[in-house]
Amino acid sequence: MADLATVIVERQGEVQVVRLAGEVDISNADGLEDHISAAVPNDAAGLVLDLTDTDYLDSAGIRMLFELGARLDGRRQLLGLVVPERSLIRHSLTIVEVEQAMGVHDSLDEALAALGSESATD
Amino acid sequence: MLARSLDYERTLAEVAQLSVPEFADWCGVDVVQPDGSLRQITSGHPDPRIEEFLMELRRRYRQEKGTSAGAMHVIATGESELERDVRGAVQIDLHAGEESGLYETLAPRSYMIVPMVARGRTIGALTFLSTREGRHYGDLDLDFAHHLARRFGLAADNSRLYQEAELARERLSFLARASELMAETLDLERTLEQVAYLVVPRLADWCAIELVAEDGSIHNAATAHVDPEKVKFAEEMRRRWPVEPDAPTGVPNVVRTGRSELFSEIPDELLAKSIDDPDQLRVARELGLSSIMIVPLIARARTLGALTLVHAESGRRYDEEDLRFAEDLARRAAVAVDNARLYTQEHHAVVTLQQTLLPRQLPDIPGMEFAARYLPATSELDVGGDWYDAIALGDGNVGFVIGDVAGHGLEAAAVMGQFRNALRAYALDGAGPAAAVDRLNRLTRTFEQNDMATLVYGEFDAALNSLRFVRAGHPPPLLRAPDGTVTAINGRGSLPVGVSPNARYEADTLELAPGSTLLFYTDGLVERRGETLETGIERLERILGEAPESLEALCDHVIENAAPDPERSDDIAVLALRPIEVDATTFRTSLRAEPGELSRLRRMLMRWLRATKASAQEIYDITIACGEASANAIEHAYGARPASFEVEGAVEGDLVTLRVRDYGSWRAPRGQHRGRGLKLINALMEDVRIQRSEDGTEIFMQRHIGLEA
Repeated sequence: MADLATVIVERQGEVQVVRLAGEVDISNADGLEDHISAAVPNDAAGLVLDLTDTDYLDSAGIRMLFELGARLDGRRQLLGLVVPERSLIRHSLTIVEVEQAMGVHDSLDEALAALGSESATD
Repeated sequence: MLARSLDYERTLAEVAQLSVPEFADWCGVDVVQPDGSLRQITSGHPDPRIEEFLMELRRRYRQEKGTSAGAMHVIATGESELERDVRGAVQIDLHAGEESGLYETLAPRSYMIVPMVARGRTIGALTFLSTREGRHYGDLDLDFAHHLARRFGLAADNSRLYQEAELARERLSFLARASELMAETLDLERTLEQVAYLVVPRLADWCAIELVAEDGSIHNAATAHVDPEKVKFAEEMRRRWPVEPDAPTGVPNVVRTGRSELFSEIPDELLAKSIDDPDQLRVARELGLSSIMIVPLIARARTLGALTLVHAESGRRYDEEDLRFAEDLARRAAVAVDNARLYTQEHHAVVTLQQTLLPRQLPDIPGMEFAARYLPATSELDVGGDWYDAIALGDGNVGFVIGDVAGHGLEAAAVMGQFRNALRAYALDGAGPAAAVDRLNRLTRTFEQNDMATLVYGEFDAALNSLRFVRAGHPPPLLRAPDGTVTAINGRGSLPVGVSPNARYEADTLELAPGSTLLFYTDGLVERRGETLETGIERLERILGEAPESLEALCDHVIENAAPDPERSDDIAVLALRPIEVDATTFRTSLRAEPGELSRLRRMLMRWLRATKASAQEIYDITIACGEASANAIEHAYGARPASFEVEGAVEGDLVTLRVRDYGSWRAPRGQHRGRGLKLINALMEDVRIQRSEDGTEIFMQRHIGLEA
């Protein structure tokens, strides 16, 4: 089976940006978590995980988000998500109250701005 | 046998004419034939009644005297005869009446018989008859007759030698032509027919070929006669009176001993002696057989059968020389027959092997129709190497192959078997099209020879109506859309398998709408001499466009029109497949209890839901709920034995019902994560019920759709 999801990593100033495209379920969530976590260097202020092109994210994917948040928190790094308003995955993220645990933003710019101001006040 | 040269006949006639009337009133030339008989040519008598009378006298004279007197004696001894005056000394009894009158009219006076000697051999005799008043032969005449006989003898012998040389040359060219004709085909039946009709009518009025079967029985393989009615008659005779395998003479004896039989003449006693059945004897007599040769067909030290040559209505006779010639012909025919026999055996072996290597039955996949054909090449050793395959990969997925191994014959068929099995194994491993073909390519490096194959391998997901395929040096499959338009599916295309270890294989994706037809084929269907492959493919596109709807009929139509010649110089393999519309109101699938199955389930479910009035968000939400329930089922399935779970769906109006059923043991949700799954199900569906039993767990979920629109 071809890879369900692809990960593209780029650095934008202080912040590491990871674009996650495709689908996340129990078959790949653990692997993705390790991969994304490893993609964030210690000197980065935080991670913006861009889910704009994520087509499917079930409870295993949601757990991955919480686990990532916990890992980064342990490294005193911040996590912000990009989930556009029109995204189909947003509904289920809201149900399990992801917004309570991490920033969920409509766009990358918004997420970068929020992370920048948060790290500045930190 | 082959017509005697006219020159020779003419020479003999001239010899007879030359001395008349200056030296004799009648002259006869008797020439010894190869079989020892005498052939007579005369100057002829102006009165035909007297000529006839003279002939009759000679015949009776010979019968009475044998070699004690007359031409027979002269030839036997080389000594001449001179009768100076035969008046009043009639040497043969004459019948009273007419014969006496004729004798008086002829009024013989004197005669001489001298041997014709050439190259130290007595080749015949000259008879000079004088009926002229006062012309009586004496010693001087005898000397002159000797002189004439020497000159004529030499001329006749030269002519004979020339004729023999001509005959030999003609026979050689006949044999060469025969060998050529027999080499034209490797088909046993046709070879035998060629041989039989080569012989008739030049060498025989009838020709029959009998072959020995494995069990030693003898059966007719070919019969020829200029008149086809007579061939039918011969076949009828053979049915009524089959060959007796232990007959002391004839074909069984020739086959048994490997030695020829020659019956130069067929006197009635011979027929009566060798045929017991009175009916058969009567029919044999009616045939008017005049001469028969039976020669063995021997090749590679084996007697394969016998060639029988018969002279009947033409009245010709066979002699020893004819027999030698027939034996020569039979030797060549035997080699041709043996080659054809070996070829037929191999052709049969390859076709059999091919057929055992091809799928006997195509798998039964719901939502999918197939038909396939394999037609072996008919001529030459061109069979083997083409294959098709359809492999049920589970979960409604199916792999399709059409392939063509380079080369022909047993070897190609065997290599095909290796390719086919290896590709099946890779396909069942779940490698996917690109990886499967790539592995096949790497596998060829371990083959002892540089085996190569072109192929198209595709995996069709019946649930998604999507085909992923790799085309490795093979002609493109053709797609006929439901509206009848036909397009060649080239994809990106790559090298044939087995050409380069560095070849890269990548898959292309093709959506196959229900009702569309995909046709895979091998080049035997499109290739014609003096034509580009493109032209052949374009023709096939037109033919496919007009083909009937039923897949079986479609395959037949395509083959009949694209390859109408029953003589095929190449194999043809065809595989047609078509996704068919499934019931949109219900959904049902059974999956392995493995995390990897979830994405497949999602695709199937989304495709099904897209056919309803559900919005994109509703489809997503239902899919998430079903995915959570399924993940739950997979977690229950921990255990030694392979487990599966089922998902059933139904749409009634705007109400969607889903049931996810597993056969494992329920575990209470542990930790936040599993709690989130149930939370999602409950939030996304309206009615959720979980029923646990000893057999397993069923999660029932229901909600309305079309609410957002």
